[in-house]
Amino acid sequence: MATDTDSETVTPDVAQFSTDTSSREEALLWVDDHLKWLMTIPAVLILFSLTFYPLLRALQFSTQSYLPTGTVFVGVENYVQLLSDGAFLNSLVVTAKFVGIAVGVEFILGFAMALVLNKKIKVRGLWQTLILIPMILSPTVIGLIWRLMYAPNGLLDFIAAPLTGGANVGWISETSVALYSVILTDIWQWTPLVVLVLFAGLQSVPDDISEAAVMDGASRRQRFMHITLPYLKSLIVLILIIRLVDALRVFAKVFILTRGGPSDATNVISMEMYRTAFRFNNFGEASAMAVSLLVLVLILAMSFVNIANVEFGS
Amino acid sequence: MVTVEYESVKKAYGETIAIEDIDLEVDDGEFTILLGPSGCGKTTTLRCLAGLTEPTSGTITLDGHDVTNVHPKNRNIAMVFQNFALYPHMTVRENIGYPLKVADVGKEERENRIEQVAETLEIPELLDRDIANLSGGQQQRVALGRAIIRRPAVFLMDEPLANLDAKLKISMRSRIKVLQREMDITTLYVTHDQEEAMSLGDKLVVMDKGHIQQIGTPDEVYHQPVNQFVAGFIGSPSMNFVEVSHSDGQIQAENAPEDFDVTLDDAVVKRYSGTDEMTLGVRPQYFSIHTEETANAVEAEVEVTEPQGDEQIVEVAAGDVSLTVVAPSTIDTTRGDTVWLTLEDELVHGFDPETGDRIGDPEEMVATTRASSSAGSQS
Ligand SMILES: Nc1ncnc2c1ncn2[C@@H]1O[C@H](COP(=O)(O)OP(=O)(O)OP(=O)(O)O)[C@@H](O)[C@H]1O
Ligand SMILES: [Mg+2]
Repeated sequence: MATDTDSETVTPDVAQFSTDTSSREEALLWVDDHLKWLMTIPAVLILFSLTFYPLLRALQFSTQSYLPTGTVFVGVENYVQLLSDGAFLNSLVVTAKFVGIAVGVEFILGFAMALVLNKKIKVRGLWQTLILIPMILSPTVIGLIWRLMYAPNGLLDFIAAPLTGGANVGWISETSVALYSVILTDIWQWTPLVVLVLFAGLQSVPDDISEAAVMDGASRRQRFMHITLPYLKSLIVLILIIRLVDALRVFAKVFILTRGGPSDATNVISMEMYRTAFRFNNFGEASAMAVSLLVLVLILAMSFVNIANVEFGS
Repeated sequence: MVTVEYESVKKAYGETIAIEDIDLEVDDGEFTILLGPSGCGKTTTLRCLAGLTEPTSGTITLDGHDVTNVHPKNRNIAMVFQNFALYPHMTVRENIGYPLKVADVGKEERENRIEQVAETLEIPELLDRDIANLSGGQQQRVALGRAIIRRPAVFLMDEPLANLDAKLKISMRSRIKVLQREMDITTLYVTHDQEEAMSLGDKLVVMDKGHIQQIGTPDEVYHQPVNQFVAGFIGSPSMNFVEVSHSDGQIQAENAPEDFDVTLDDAVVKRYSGTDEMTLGVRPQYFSIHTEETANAVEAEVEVTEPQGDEQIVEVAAGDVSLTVVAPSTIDTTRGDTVWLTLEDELVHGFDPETGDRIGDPEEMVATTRASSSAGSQS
C-alpha cells in the first residue's frame, strides 16, 4: 500500500488509485466507528415510541382542557385543580396507607421467610416452587380468586367464623375493612418475590465469611447485623424500590376487588385517575394526576437510594 | 499453657469418610503442620478443632478440657482461612479490630491494639484502605492481624500462603514463623506444600486418605519415612521406587535385571535379610552420576536433563526402569548418553511391596544416617 512519502514518486494513475482507497477506507472507518450507534436505532425508536411518546403526550394532555368543542391550552390549571380536588387528595391518603402497610408487611414477612428458608430445611425445593405460584398468576386472576374468597359466606368468612361468631365480615364491602383486604391480597401476591430475592441474597453470603465471624467470636445477632445485612444491602434497596414503585401504581387488583369503593375507601391514585379520565372524561386532570404520580415515584425512588447509601455507607 | 489433643476423631459425610482414627497431641507453643495431598482431610481435621465441623465420633480436648461440643465462639481459637475470608464491606482497620469489637472492648483500647498489630505486620499505612483493593499479600497480613489481635489460645491456619506467588510465599513464611515464636501460641498449620512444611514446622503430621501416616520432626519424616507414601510425598523431586529382588545383598530390578544390578554394603544388607522381594526407595539426591563405566553401578541412558542452576535434574532409563537423579551442574551429559549411577547404600529404603511399610528397624537407620550424612539428623 502506498504511503504518503512514496506517493510523490509514483505515477499519477497509481496516486489516483491510492487516494481512492484511502477515501474508501475512511468511509469504512466511519461506518466502523458509528455502526454501533446505527445498530441501536431500532431499539431507541421502540423505546421512544413506547415510553417517551406516551409520556410526552401525557404532559401535553395535562396542560389542556377537553371541551365538547375541542381542546384548549390551560397551562397549569389542571394541576392547580388537583390541589383542591377532595377525591384526589383522598386517593393520596389511601395510596399512602396501601403502600406503607403492604410493602412494610411484605418486606418484614418476606425477610423472615427468607431467613427460615435459608436454614437447611427439608423439602426446600417444594417450598421454592409453591412460593412462586402467586407471582406467576396475573393480577386479574388473583383479583377474581380473592373476590370469591371475600364474598359473603365465602372462604374467608368461614375461616374467620370462630372470631366473628359466624357474622359476615364484609371483607370488601365494609368501608373500614376493604382497604385491608386489598392489602392482604397484595401481600399474598408479592411477599414471595421478596422471599425469593432476599433468599438469593442470603445464599450469596459466602460460608467462610460467616464462619470467620463465628471464629472471631461474633454472636448470631452480631453476624446478622455485621455480615448478613451489609451483604443484602443492595438487594434490600432494590426490592424495596421495586415494591414501592409497583404498589404506588396498583390498579388491576383494586379494580376487580372493589372498583375503589366502598365510598372511596380503596380509591387509590390510579383508580381515581381511571375514573377521572373515563367516567368523567376529564383527560386533562387525569393526565395531570398521572404526571404527578410519576414525579412522586421518581422522587421517592431517588431519595430512597440516597438514604440507603448514607445509612449503610457505600 | 495450651495443649491440644485429638482422640480417635472421625468425621464421615454420609458414606464418605473424611477423616478417621485421628490421634494427635500438640504441645504448648508447638508449631504443628498438617501435610498431605488434596482431599486427605487436613481441612476437616482443622475444622473439627475450630468447632466449625462436628466430629462423628472421638473427642478433642484443649488443656485437658473436652471441647468436642463447645461452641467455636467459646474455644478462643483464631483461624486464618485459605482465601482469607476478610469482611469485604469493612476497612482494614475494621477487619483487624472485629474480634475486639464483638467482644465489647472499648474503642480506645481497640484502636491501640489495632495500631500495635498493624506495626507488627508492617501495614500501618493500609489501615484505612478498603479490603477490595488490597493485593493478595496485603490481604494475607490483614487476615493474620485479625487472628492475632485477641491473643488466641490456639492458632489455626488453612493453607494461608496458597494464593501467594513464590517469592511472597517465602517472605510470609518466615514472618509467620517469627510471629509464632514471639507470641508462643500453639499452632496448627495446614499445607500441601512439603517444602513449606519442612521449613516451618516443629512437628509434621503427614496425612493420606483421611488417616495420619506419620507424626515426627521434619528430619524424621524425611530420613525415616514409615511407609512408601510418606517417603514419596516428602522430598523434591520425589523418591524413586524400584521393584527389586534381593538375595544376599544382591539387588536386581525386576524390570531391568541386567542394567539395574548392584550389591549393597554389608551393614545395609542386614536390614533386608529374609526379604527377597521389596520396593527399593532411593532419593534422587542419593545417586551419584558417572560418565565413565563404574563398578557396582546402574547402567542407564539419559532421557532429559533439566538445568536448575547449581544442580540439574536428570531423567534416565535403566532398561524399563525410569529414574530421576539430582546431579551437580558440572556433570556434562545430554540425551542419549550412557551414564553409571552409584547408590549411597546407607540412605536407601526398602518397602514391603504389599503393604508399603518400611522394612528394617528405624533405630538402625538413624545410626547409619548419622554416620554417613554430613547434615546429621538429630532426633
Ligand atoms: N461438607 C462436606 N460434605 C461432603 N464431603 C466433604 C465435605 N467436606 C469435605 N468432604 C470430603 O472429605 C474429604 C476431606 O476433605 P478436606 O477438605 O478435609 O480435604 P483437604 O485435605 O483439606 O484437601 P485440600 O488440600 O484440597 O483442601 C474429601 O474427600 C472431601 O470430598
Ligand atoms: Mg483444605
